Amino acid sequence: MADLFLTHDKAKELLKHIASQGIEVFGPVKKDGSHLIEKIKDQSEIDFSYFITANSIKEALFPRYEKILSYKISQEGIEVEDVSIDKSVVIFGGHPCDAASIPLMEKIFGWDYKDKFFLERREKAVILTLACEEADKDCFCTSLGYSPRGEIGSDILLERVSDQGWKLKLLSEKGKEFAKKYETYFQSTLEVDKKYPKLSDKDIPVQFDAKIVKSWIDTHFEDPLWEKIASNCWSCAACTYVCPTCHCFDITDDATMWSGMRTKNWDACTLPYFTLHASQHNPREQHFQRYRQRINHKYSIYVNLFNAISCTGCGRCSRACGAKVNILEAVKMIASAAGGK
Amino acid sequence: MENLQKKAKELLSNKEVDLIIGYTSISEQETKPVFIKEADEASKLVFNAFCFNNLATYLTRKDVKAVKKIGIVAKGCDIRAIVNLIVENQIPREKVYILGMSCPGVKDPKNPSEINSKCRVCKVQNPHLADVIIGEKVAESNKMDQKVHHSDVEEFNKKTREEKWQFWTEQFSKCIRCYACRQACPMCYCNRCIVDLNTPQWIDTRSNPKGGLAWNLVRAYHLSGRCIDCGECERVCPVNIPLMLLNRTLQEEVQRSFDFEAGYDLEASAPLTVFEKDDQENFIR
Repeated sequence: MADLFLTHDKAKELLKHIASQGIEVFGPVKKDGSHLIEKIKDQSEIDFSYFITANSIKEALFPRYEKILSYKISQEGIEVEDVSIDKSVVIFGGHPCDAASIPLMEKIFGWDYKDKFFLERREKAVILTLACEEADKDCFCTSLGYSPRGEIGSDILLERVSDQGWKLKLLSEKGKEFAKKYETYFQSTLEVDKKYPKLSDKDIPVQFDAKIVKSWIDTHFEDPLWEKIASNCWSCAACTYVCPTCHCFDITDDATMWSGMRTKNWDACTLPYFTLHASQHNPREQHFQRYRQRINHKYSIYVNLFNAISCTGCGRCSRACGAKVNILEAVKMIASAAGGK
Repeated sequence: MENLQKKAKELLSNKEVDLIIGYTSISEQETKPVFIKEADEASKLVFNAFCFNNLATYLTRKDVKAVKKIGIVAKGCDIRAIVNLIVENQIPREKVYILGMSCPGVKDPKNPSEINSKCRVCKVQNPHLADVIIGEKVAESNKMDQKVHHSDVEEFNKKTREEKWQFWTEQFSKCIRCYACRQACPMCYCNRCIVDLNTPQWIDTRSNPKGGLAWNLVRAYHLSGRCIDCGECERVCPVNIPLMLLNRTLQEEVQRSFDFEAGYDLEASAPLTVFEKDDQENFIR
C-alpha cells in the first residue's frame, strides 16, 4: 500500500465529517489554557499544538458518568429499561501511553464480570494515536516497556513528518478499513521536514526495574517508606481521574418517587471515603494508606491478576497533583529501597 | 533561607516542635510541601517565590492533628488560613508554631514571569501573626493595586444574569469531581463533607452539568466570609475552572454587607456564623 499522509487542516475536516455521520468523535480541544481530549462539538475548538493533554483518552470509553439503566415504578410493577451502546467512537489525538492503556482496561472490564459498557464501546472504537515529539521529566513510559512511538492499543499511529501533518501507520484491520473509508482525506505525498521525528526511546531513559518494585511492594505492606512517599498527599482524586488506567467507579441513583436512573460514576481509591464500611470502620483511614493502595494496585495486584502493570508511564498524575506527589519519584524510592536501580 | 533552616533545626533539636511542615525545592522554579521530623533534615527547607502551596490545609489532616506541637512555614496569606482555623476552633493557638515568612509576593503559577495578582493587594506581606518572623521586612509601598486583582470580578459583573448563568454552567460542566479544590483548601476541613454524605445523597456526585453546578455552588457558599483568597483551589483544578472569580465575588459581597475580611483577627468570627443585633437583615427578629 502506498504511503498515506494527513495534514492538520484535513484532520479537522475529517473529524467534522465523521461527527456529522452520528459517530462520537473525541479529539484534542484547547479550553481555558489547557488541552483536553473531549467529545468534539465544534470543529474550531480542535487544536493540535500540545505536548500532552491534561486528561487521558479513557473518557471516550469509560465516561466520567454514564446511565446504566432507568426504571419506572407503577401499580403494574417495576419496569426496567436497559441501555444499549449504539454509537461508534473515533478517538483522535492520544499518545502511545494513552493507547497502551486500552488493552490494560480491557483486561479488568472483561474479567469476571463482563462490563458491556466499556467492552462494546471498545469493540466499536477506532483509535488514532499521535507518536510523541516531546517528553518532560514526568514521562517514564520506557521504564515500563512502552515507547513514545509505541503501537500497542492503536489502530492507526500518526507520526509527525512536518509542521503540517503526519504519516500514517495502519496497525489493525480496523485501521485499514478506516483509511479506506475516508481515503479522500488522505494524501500520498507530503513534504518531509528533517527535524522530525524529534523523539525516540533513548530520549526517555529507563529509570527503574518494575520487577524489583513489585517484589518490594509484595513484602513491605507495612513500611515507614509509604508514609514518606505520600507525606504531602491531601487525598483528592485528580491523579486517578487523569490516569488512563484507573478504572474504579461508584453506582448511584438519580431518582424521584416513581422513576429513576442508575449511573456509573468515576470513583477513586485516593478519596477518604472510598473504603468506608457501613460500620463506619475505614481500613484506609490515612492518606498514605490510600496512596499505597494506588501504587500497590498498579504495580502488584494487577500484575498478579493479569501479568501486566497497570501504569503506562504517562506522568499525568504527577502533573495534575497540586501537592506535587510524583509517581515516578515514588516508584524510584521503592526501587532504591529494594536495592535496585 | 539559612535563617529558616537554622530556626527549624533549633526548634526540632530543642523539641519545641515535633514536626515542621515547610517547602522543599524540586527544581529552580518548583517547590513542594515537605514534612520534617528530624533536626538534620531541616536543611531541606526552602522559601522562595515558587512556594505556592497553602500548607495550612495539612493542619487538619488526621495524622498531623495527632502531632503534639506543629511548626509550619507560612506566608501572610497562609497565616490568614491559620487564624481562621483557630477562630473556628479547629486548632488551638498553642498547638501551632508559626514560622512567618516575610513575603514580597509569589509568582503566578500559570505564568511564572508575573507576580501573582493576589500579592498585589496583600496586606500581610509582613506576617500578622507568627511565633517568629523570618526574612527582611517588606516595604509597604509595592502594593494596593486593588484594581488589578479585582478587575475580573468587576468585568464579570457587567454581564447580564443570563450570560453569567451560561458562563458558570459551562465552567461547572467541566468539573470532573476530583475534589482537588476541597482537599487543597485550608478552610475545607469538614470531617465529612456534605458531598460525601450518602444516606441520603444530598449532593449529586455525578460529573455532569447538574452535579458540577451543585457541588461548586455548595462549596462557594460554605466559603463565603471564610475564604482567605489564597487561590489554591483554582491553582490545583485540573480542568482550570476559575474558582477564585466565584470566591472573590462572594468575598466582595461579604465585605460590602458586613465590612469583614476573613483571617486577620483572632477575635472576629465569620459574619455568617454569628448573629448581631445590628445586622441589616431583620428576618430573624
